[in-house]
Amino acid sequence: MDNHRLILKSNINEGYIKAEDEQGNYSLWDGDGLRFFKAGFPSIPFWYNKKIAFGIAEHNEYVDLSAGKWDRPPSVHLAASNFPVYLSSKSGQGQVLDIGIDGPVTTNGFRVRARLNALGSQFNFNQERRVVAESGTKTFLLFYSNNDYNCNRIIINYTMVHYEKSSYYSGGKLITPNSNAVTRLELRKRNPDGSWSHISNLEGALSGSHEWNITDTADTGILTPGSYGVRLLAANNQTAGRSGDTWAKTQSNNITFFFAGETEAATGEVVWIAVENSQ
Amino acid sequence: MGSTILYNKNTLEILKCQRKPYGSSGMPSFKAICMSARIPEDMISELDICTINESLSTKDAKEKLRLINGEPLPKPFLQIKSNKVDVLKFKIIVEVKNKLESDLFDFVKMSINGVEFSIDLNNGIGNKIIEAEEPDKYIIKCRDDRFFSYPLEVVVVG
Repeated sequence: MDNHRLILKSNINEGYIKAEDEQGNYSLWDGDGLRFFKAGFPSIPFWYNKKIAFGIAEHNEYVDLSAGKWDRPPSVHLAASNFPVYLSSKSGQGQVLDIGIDGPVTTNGFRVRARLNALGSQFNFNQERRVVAESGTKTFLLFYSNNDYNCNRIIINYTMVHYEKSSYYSGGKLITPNSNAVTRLELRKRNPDGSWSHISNLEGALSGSHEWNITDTADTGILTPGSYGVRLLAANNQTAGRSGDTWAKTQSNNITFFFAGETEAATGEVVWIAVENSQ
Repeated sequence: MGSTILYNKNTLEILKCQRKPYGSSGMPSFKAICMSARIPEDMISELDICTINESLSTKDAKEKLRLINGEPLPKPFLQIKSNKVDVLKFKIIVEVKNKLESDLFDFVKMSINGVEFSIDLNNGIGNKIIEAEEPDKYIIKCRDDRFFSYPLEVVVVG
């Protein structure tokens, strides 16, 4: 083994340590990190990573790096670890692994997305609610999508919404309540804390005053990918002094929600590696 | 190695188990694990965390662990065995192992090929005779989340 002389310099004012050999190769260690320069290539550093962490995370998990006191947000690399890769219950739909980071990567951590998505999921809803006409206006929830769906577009097709007034006898006369209903289809988005935010009322879909049958289609257009739900509300208006029942119902299989894009079908786990680059 | 468990202080239900990363990080904090479980702000006061030395997923932690006084302990193990009694007739024998002195179990919920039934326990032991309708393969499972167990496959021949 040959002997070589090494020149070691440190500069307290500028805050660096430099080690250089006789050929001009040197390493430099300062607040930006540690890097090595080959002789003759002073502008091409070979950087050494300052911090690294790795582990396994489930879908939606917030990986906590705060105890590591990272100076810079890391670059994060993910790979599938433990996943269902095919669900026979979704055999009619394409299925894809969806792995990624949701939200920002910061020095404190990041949130992992690890799920199996089904493409173009379709759901049918059929619910019936009886609403009682009262003085003034009252809002009733007629139905809602009982889950939130990850998607980027929702198309709602329906063939009929039926309001039926129940007539009754009063003082020997057949009375038909003077009530009708105004419906509103509301699009909501699920927040990270589990609560819902109102996004919009879907125009052209079940909006307005109806007594009998209607047929229509509503299309949200392309949405920001996220978890969405839909609910139909009815406001029941009734003229003072008259009372009675109003049936508000959807008929069999008449409302179809088509959640376009990718819908979460199952979740899994990923291997993650977070590397804090030196620059 | 190690994991942080988030649980409900009132129900002692395990909500989330998050594994400790390797490298420049530490055990997941209370705040981080609440973010992972998407806990609404108004529920946070009902929750607490504890740590274990094992590296477990949420599913595994729910299957294998229970909380007693805020301490994560292994669930009692339910051993399932079977004996042939007669043609098309067999006995399922269950025994609760690793139970604490304070544990009182009167029954255990089971299923055979998806059909649920229960077995009465006496001092942690119980049995039930099953008469199969036809020769077949029968999967016997514990459907009681108070216990950790492995399913048993019984092949009944005519």
